[in-house]
Order: sequence, then C-alpha cells, then structure tokens
Amino acid sequence: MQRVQEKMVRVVGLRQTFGHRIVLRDVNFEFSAGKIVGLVGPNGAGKTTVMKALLGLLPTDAGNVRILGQPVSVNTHSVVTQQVGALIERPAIYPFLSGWQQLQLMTTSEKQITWVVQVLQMDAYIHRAAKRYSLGMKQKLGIAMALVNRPRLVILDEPMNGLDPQSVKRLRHLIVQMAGKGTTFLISSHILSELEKIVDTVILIDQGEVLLQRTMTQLRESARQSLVVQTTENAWALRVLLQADYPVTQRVRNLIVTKPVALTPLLRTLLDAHIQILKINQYQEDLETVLLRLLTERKV
Amino acid sequence: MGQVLQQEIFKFRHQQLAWLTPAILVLLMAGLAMTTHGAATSDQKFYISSAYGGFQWLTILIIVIGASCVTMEFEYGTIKQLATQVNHRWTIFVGKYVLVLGYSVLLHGVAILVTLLLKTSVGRGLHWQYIYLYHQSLLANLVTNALLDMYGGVMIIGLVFLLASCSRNSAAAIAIGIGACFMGEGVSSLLLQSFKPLLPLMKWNPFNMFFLQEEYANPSYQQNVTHLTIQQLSVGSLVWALFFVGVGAMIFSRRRI
Repeated sequence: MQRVQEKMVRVVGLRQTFGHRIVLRDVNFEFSAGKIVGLVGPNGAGKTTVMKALLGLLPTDAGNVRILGQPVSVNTHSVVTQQVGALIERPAIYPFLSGWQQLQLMTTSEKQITWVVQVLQMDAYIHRAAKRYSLGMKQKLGIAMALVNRPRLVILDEPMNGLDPQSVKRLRHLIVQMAGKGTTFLISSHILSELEKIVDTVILIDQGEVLLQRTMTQLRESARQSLVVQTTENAWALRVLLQADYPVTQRVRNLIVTKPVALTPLLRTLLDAHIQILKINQYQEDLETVLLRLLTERKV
Repeated sequence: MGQVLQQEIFKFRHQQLAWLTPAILVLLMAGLAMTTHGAATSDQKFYISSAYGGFQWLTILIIVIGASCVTMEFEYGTIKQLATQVNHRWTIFVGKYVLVLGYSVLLHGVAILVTLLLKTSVGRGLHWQYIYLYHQSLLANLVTNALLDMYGGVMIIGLVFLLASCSRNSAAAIAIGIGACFMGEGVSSLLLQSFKPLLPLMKWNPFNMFFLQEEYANPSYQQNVTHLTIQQLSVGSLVWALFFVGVGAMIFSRRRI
C-alpha cells in the first residue's frame, strides 16, 4: 500500500492587492512534510507576501491557506504559533537584548537554546548586546530564533543574506539534517546556486503568479544539454556535422551541438572527415539558467 | 495574555530607560526640593503634597516610555515575530498597556518614598499630621494626590498608546502626548467657554478629564471650569481610557506589517 504523505502547506486561490496594485494573483501550491521547498522569483515577485500570508501576518483578499490542515489567517493562526518558525525580511531583534536573551523570549528551554547556539556556532558573541552584532551575526540570530523551538515548518526569507561562505555551508548542512528528521522548510533566496544544493522542490513566482512548481528531478530533466566542440577546422567541421543532420551552430571558436546526442557517432563523423578535435565539453543548464529561461520564455 | 505580559516585563527590565527613569525622577524631585528651602509653610505643604513636582515629571516620563514601548516593535521589525507568537495581535497591545500602568504605579510609589526622604532634610519643620486640604493630614494629601495622578494616568497612557499605534516613530506620539497633557486643560476651558450652548455635550470632552486632580485640590473648579463633579470626571476618565485603548488596539491589530 502506498503511504500517503501529510500535506504540510496548501495554498488555494490566494489573491492580494495593495491599493490598485495586484500583488498576488490566484496563487496555488502545496507541499508535503519533510520537504525543502525553494520559493524563487525576481524582486517584487511576491515571495515575501506569500510568506507573510502563510504566517497569518497579512489579510488577503481571497483564497485560503492551510498548514497541517488547519486554516491560517490574521485572526486564526494557532497552528503558526505552535508549529512554525520564521525569519521574514530582516531579523526581528531588540538591540538592547543579547542574543541569548532574544532566544529566551522564544523558548524557556535552555537545552534548546544551547543546541541552536552551538549548531550555528554563535557561542563567541551570544551574550553580547545585539546592537554590537554585524549583519551576518544578526542574520544567524534571526535563523536561530526561527529554529530554536524545533518547529515542524520553518519559513526562511533570504536566509543566506550577509552570511560568510562557511556559515552558508553550515546552514545548508543543518537544513538538510533537520529535513531528514521531518522538519519542512520553505526558503526564498536569490542565491539560486545555493538553493539548488538543498531543495527538493522549486516554486517559481513572478508578478504575483506561480509559474511552476517542479521537483528538482523534473527541473534537471528539463535543463537543456549541449555539447561544445573545438576543432582545428571549425568551418569544415560545421559543414560535415550539418550534412550528417546534427543540430549544430558556430559560436566564436566553438561548435555548439544544441541537443543531447550520442557522442561516439558524432566523434566518428568528425574523425572520418580527418578533422582534428582539440576540445570537447558537455554542458548542462544549472537551476539559475533554467529558471531565467523559463521566465524569459513566459515574457516572450 | 500571561505569557505576553511576562515577555514584556522581560524586555522592559533589560532596557536602560527602565532603570534610568527612577533616577531621573529622583534628581528632578531633589532639584525642586532644594529650591523650596526657606519657602513659606503653605508653599512647603503644597510642594510636599505634590511630591516636589514628582507627579508631573512622572507623567512626562511615562508618556516617553509608553510611546517608545509601542513604536519600538515597528521600528525594530519585531512586531512580525510577536504577531506569529500570539493568536490575537491586540493582546500584545493590552499587555504593553498593563505593563506601563504597572510601571506607573511603581514610579508613584518611588515618588512617595522620595518625598518622605526629602522632607526629612528639606521640610523638617513640617509634621506629616499637619492639616492641609479637605481637613486631611499632609500625608493623606500626598497619598490622595498620588492615587488621583495614577488614575488620571490610565487615560493619558491610553491616549499615548493610541497615538503610538498610529505612528512608526515614537517622537510624534511623545510630542502630541505631552502637548495634549499640558495644553489639554487650556483647550478644554477654551472649548467650554467658546461653545456655551454645547456645554452639556462639550463638558465630556477628554481634555476636561485632565482636571480631575485639580478639582480635588480646588472644588470650585466644578462650577467655574469643568461643570462635572469629581465622580463624573472619574467615570469620564475611565470611559475615555477604555475608548483610547480599544481604538488603539484595533489600529495596532490592523496595521500592515
């Protein structure tokens, strides 16, 4: 019997306007527990607005949000208070409190605070007043505040902002580790190369509309592959390959085969024509390129 | 609500302002007490019963604290975090209001204690049992004034909270709050004199309620100024306080964050 996965988040027909500006247009998506979901899109696409709606911080014009099957709105969000941790926009920090005291506002469990401080390596400055923190330290504290209660759903808005490469790596590792134990993550980030390394699913949003929701496997499959060939006689090689019906174009000193092809017959065709091959590379679009292509295709 | 109040107390006691305020109050009271040395007995009685100006200073300090207590959440962006921790955002507002009221009670206690101490050095010639207003002792007058000031503060803090809930910056709420508090009485008198036919309605304006303490000290105010009895001023003050807190909480809950 197939195991039915619990729906962590379900958003149906979400609409939101600020004055005359439509911010969200009929937003629909859902994802299961234990997943790491990336919410991506250009600036002003509506990512933060979606996250705020998920937290019950924003009254919406239409649609509904459910977390673990329970409704979420400005007036009804007990599931958020009990099961969700979040970092939205910038870390919510009182400058007159130390990092430790901020965490004490989130939980009474010293064990949990010690855990999150250690795991994010904040020991050196956690008892210092937050007004003396750097941007990265504040960001880490904001993340720690979202994680300290070990919520079932963690919503992180641009969590990598201001973090050094080591901290980014450590955070990535922590997110994967926690997701392995059942925590669900919804993460928005502009650093798609970082997001690509951890997310299971990507939700692409632009101008308040969800353009696609795909698993990383599906996105990798839809990534275009090409072959870059450099020979001693590119002009002659181009004619030979075109005669053999290969989809090939010349770009500067390279020949680009724009579709995935079997390598051996292609090489044999060139070698049979006595063309010397200098370099051959296989290239696959990364997440950033795929998403940018999808955005451009939509605009066209 | 209990958890919200606990959090507010935790935050408040870690703010410098919380510890600095009593020190400022003591200094200001001591400053005024020094100037009363050698004053006439009747003046000395007045200064002692008004806690060497402590109650007035205290009102200004409470306005500053109340306004910054509300606006800081929007200034630091911490309102988002708070709003996800409670089911109803108005509980944060009410929690803060209760905290500031409690702090006001505490400061009134400090003002009375400091007055007791200052009197031992500055007003040594006067006995606490000396009869002052309403044929009551000086000490009874001091305590009554403290209670009336505390009671009046319920409405003033409510008004400041309402102003602060509309603002992202505490400065505007502080300025309007202090302005309303010290010019409100004048505005009310002007309104009552200018619109005599509307007196039955106008006498219930919120600024008229600021006269509560003065009317206690000077009963002729009922006829000449407020046109309300002490009891009516007390009830009016409470109703306006509830109104300010209610509207403030509604604005606070609906503000875009």
